[in-house]
Amino acid sequence: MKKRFFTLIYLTAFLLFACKKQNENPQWDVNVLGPLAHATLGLNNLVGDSFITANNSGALIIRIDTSFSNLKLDSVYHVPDTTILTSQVFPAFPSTITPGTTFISGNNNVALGVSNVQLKFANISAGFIKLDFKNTLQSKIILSYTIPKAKKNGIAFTITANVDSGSVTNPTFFSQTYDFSGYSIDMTGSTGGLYNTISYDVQAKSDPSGYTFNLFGGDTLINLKTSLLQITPDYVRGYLGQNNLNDSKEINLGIGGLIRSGTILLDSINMQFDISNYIGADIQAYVDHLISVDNRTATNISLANSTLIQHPININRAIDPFYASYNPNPALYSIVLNKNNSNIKQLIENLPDKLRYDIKLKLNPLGNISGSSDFIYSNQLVKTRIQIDMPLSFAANQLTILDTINFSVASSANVDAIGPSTLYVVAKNGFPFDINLQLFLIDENNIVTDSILVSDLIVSGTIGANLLVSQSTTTKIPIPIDAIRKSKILATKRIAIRATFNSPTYPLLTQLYNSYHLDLKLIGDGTYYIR
Amino acid sequence: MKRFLSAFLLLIIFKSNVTAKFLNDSTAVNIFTFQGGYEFGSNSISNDLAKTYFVNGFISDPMKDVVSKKLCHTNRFGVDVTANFQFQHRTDSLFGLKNSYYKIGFSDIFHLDSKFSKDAFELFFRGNKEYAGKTADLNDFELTQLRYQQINFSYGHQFYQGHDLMEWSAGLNLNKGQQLLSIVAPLASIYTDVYGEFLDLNAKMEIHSSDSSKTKFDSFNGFGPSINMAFKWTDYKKRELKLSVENFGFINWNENSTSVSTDTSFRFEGVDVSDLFEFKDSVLQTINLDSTLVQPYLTNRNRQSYVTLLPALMKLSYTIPLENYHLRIETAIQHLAFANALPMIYQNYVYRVNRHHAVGLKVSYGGYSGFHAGINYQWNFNSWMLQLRSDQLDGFLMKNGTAQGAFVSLSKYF
Repeated sequence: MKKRFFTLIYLTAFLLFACKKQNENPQWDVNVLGPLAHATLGLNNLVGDSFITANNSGALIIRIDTSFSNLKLDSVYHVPDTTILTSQVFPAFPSTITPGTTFISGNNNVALGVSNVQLKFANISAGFIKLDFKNTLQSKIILSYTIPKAKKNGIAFTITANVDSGSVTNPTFFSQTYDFSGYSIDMTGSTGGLYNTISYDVQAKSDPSGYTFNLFGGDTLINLKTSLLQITPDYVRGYLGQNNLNDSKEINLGIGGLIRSGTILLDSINMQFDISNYIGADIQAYVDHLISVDNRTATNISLANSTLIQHPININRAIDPFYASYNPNPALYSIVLNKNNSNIKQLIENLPDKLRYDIKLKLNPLGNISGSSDFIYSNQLVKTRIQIDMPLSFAANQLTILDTINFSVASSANVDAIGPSTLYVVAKNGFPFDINLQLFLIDENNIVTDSILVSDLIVSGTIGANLLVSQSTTTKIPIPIDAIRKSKILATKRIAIRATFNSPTYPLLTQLYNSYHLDLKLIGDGTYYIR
Repeated sequence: MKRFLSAFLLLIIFKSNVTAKFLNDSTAVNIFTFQGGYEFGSNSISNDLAKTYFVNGFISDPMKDVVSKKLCHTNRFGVDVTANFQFQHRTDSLFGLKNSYYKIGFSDIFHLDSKFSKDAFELFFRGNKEYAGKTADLNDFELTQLRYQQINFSYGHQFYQGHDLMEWSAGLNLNKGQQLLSIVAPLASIYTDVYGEFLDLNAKMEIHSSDSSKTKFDSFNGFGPSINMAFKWTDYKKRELKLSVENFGFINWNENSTSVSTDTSFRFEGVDVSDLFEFKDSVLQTINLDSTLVQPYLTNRNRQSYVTLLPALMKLSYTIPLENYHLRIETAIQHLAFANALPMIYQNYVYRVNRHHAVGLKVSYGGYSGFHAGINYQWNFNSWMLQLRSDQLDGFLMKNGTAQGAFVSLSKYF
């Protein structure tokens, strides 16, 4: 019996042991062949969608359209913070004040510290009024503060406040800040003949339900301090003066920022240069210089055109359909530059990464000829716009572009499972230039750890008659993947992509069409570990 | 070595010298039984590969080679693992019927079956490289994996019709669904471009799975009934004719189940990484090829309830006793319906050594695999009965066998 019992135990243990799990999952290896990734690249991928357009024949044109305005409203006028004191002192004889007695301080004017301009009207988009009142009287004071020519929705700015009784030795203070945004202000003062001036009224009344008290000569009835803080108009009207404005800056042009080396030859180019005046005042513009800046080669080329460069340009004032329409019709100055009237072709062949400009503007060169009806909106001053149309008929010589992208493998399991393998890049090139494409793996220390593609050339498409690509050319580039490369891919944080273009027919110019593209496929061929 | 040990141990048990007498189980009032076992069968998948797969081992190329040689156009496999507790009470009269009994039982059941093409195996275990320039035929693919628990109530009644003893029983099973995976693809193929530049997937396929967030034993992901019915006719010469249907029913998986269907063609050319070359933007690229390959294809994804028929065993058997030879011969035909199995025929020869020991030899053909031989052994001692059985003993002895199973039952009579 005991023998049979142990036999059963042994059998059970044997069966249980035989069923013990060896791993978390079943494991085996498979040999896979298949696509991993693909990309179809037109020229828009390389230059950016917004730059590329095509005409009816499909011929590609690079269109760069950039507007810039670096003018600041401060350079026309600025409203500084202003504080004014309103004080009314009782005559030098004693008197008895009964409840409900009113002390009035009306038609007070305050001139804002605005220089160089004579403003008659303003719409306030932001700002505050702060009132500080000191009461030394023996009665509670009912304070009423009004700016009759500052209105919002037709209602004048009015503040009413109660200030408790005090004494000379122990005054009572009232202090409050009020939002002043949204108010329209007539800045002609209480008489209507001034400018940059705000008028206001102050009324103080002793408590109607209080007590009679005595005043002595020299006692202060009203002691009010008004502060205008951070007043910001979005529209003003008046005379804007003869200010000189300056707009100079460097702007990114786009086409040159990615280029690392090489040269191109262009066929033709047009550049339209516009200056739009949104200010309701005449201006005289003076373009001191417009320079193509290639920081890569430290080569600067200045635009040469006698009509535009260093030549006074008079531009009329903008027209406002009605007062404070916020939609003024600008006055436009426009000039088209091409290779016949300027050196614009050389300017662009310089592959600029930036354009540097310096434009000087003078307001009202003829003085106040508008009867002080100039206007200016805070967000619409003078805009300069450059539109470059460049037919993509060009020849590239070692034109190299470089960009980096952030990259990370979502899960290391995706790479861990890859055994000895070969990746193939299959490139079908429909462009009329050879491409040398390389991807550099960059780790978190910004160190290039590997070059993913060997330097095999992606041969240009077959170029036939009229320098047109008749068919794509296929190039297959192997990339062996071993354990070392796997670890580098896992550690990659960024990938740098470098592409070098060469026209086989250089220096003959080749027109690019929107049907041209480069198909890239990444194909995996190797062992995959099922785990 | 393990197979040899298994057979050797079974032989030791058979040759054990026991003196106890066989229990006359017809007189027992109560029977408490524990049963457990597993069974694997296939017409192509070897035991070696199946066992390695289920113990999460490494499946080597030689293992695959063995299977590849056996693969035919339509291949099958099935796995059943069950554990069962059961209590039976015999009573003189129940529901007004004499000689009645009832049973109450609980079972934990795992079932897996599949029907697949040769290419499906090759693609799954070896990859698609060998199919460069060719189409892998995956048509008529089915896979069902079920895990459920069952509470059983049965009632049986015996009565005499002349000299013949009749017995019928009926039972109701209440099934609690734990886990489901069902894949049915009547049409499916994958073409691999000769240079691997693209894959053409073409499939009409449905995938159903239970709530993936609830997979434990106590998860209640579905419910459904099934019935058992049996009728046995024993004539005066103790010849038996038995007809039975077991576990005919279904489980309705709840609304948290996932259904995915597709009836379309799809060309996979890799992840589109054109944005990678947008030299004007700096974008964060993360690569996850698995989801990129699968997600665009399986887009018709819903959460909804789903009904699965349970594997139901239908069986007709005829048993002849040869008393002079202490032998009983059972001939049967059975079919596991709704489980991708073929009908099976078998004969079971049971030799009663004495009152305590009986040994049997079973030969069978059909089901998930072909011809197999098995042995069984029954040992009665005091009020206990132990049964050991393997219907596919060859699976333990032959390295390249394609079926294997073991069954143990221990009963207590009182």
